[in-house]
Amino acid sequence: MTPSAKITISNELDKIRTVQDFVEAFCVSHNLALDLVNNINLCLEEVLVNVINYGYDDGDVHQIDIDLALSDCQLEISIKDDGKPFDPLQRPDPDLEQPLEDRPIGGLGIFLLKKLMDGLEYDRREGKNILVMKKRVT
Amino acid sequence: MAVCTVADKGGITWITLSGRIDSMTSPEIQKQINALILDGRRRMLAGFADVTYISSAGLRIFITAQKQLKKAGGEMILFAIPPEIFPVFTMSGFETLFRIAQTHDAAAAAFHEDAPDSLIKTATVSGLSIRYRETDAPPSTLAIIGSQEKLASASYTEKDVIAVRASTLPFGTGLATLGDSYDEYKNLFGETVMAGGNFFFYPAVRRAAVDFMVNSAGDPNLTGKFLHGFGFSGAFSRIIALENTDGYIELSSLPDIIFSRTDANLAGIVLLAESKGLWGMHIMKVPIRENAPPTGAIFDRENFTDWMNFAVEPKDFGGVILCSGIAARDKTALSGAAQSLFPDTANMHLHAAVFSPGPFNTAVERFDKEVARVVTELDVLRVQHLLGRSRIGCAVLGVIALSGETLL
Repeated sequence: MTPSAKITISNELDKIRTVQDFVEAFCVSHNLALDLVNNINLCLEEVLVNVINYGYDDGDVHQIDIDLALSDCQLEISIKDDGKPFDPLQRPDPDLEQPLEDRPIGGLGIFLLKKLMDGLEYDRREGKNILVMKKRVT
Repeated sequence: MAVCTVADKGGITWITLSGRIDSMTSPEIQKQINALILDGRRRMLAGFADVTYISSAGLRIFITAQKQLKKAGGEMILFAIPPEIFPVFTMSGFETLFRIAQTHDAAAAAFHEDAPDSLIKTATVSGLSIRYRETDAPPSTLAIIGSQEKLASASYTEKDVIAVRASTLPFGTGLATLGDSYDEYKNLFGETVMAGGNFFFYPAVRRAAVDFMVNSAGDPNLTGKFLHGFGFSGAFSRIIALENTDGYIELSSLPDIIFSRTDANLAGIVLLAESKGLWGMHIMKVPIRENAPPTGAIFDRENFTDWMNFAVEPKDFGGVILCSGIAARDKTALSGAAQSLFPDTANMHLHAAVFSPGPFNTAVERFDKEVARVVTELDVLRVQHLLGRSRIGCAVLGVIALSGETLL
């Protein structure tokens, strides 16, 4: 059987920490390495901050679902939100060779996500953004 | 939780971060660092040793700060980034935006190696790193005010009072007070420090102390009434900063440092320093004839504890001290009158105005400004004669070479 877990939060920044604690507990209980947990939590924060800050215009409370599934070789995390359509994978990477004065201040979060995860898939279905992040575990 | 603490040392702002720097904690840290930059801080060191997590929200703080600082001719150097979070910095291209040092010391050295002021030199004296600036300011003269002859017998009278204008003798120490009529001020003499035209005295007979500790820089008419003391004027020929961030030195080692940088035999000193435990003393009665002890001298064992308040343990840790005084390379080469200004067992005589704890800047290029700032912003607690075993941390010293003397 594939271990899995699920947590749902409202679209508030201070809930990100709740997700991270939840994911950490899940990973620790399945003996995943701590630096892996840190990387996953960093990616979760980057995705969730974008969703919470930029996904909604209506000021209402929305739910964001986070599903974890652990197989032999990888941890799969899917993040589902009903915010505005947004495919983070289409964002251009920042140019790290740019001199300081030209470097934009934003754009790092999604870039880190791409660097730290082994696989990313985006889909828009039934009015929801679904981002699946995959990380190899060994 | 994340914590961001700030300390100013040697013209450099040390920022120590700990905990999680994420989208929740970043706004507060950003605000703190932004305030430092707006406040004029230009050289910053950010230490990450106790940071457990940083996200792009946290990284942005430092990119933003570096952009602002570089525009203003400043720089932020990062140090002690733990290996667990270091990859995030490299992935984000921080190595092209920042100088990154391994340790606290390496970070501090990175700034000192490229000191922006080419007049500032560095040296090591007795194992201590110093930065100093030399000028060709000519030597000044030592003004000896009155004499200590009547101190031991407590036999001063109105005839012995010498009026000294702070504007003509901006630096010095002694036993003095302020006031117009001898009958009014005769019981208010006390340990005195003059520094940069500021005048602080601590009346021997305790009253509402704050009323009597005056700082009157800029008042050209301020006139101290002295029973005895000494003073000097002139421009600093050396300004020396001691980078003593972690440790301490005893005051008694200052003459070695001073005379390693100047050929003078006698030096007037103005010292701004962080206390790491002061051994001080001050007189508790005014040594005028009507107060004279029935028998013996005030320094005799039977009278000493009535007359002198002296520390039995080090005090005022963390406080800032502003001192004036003199140091001699070789006391025996001085006149008898000048020699008598020194305690028998020391080649330095310093009085300190002791202030409440507070940060101060040890940049040698802004010493005068920093003295003025400490005087106006911090609260003065007392004025004391300092013993050589008093300990100080960070410090800046202004030195005026003295040759020749005048008697007032």
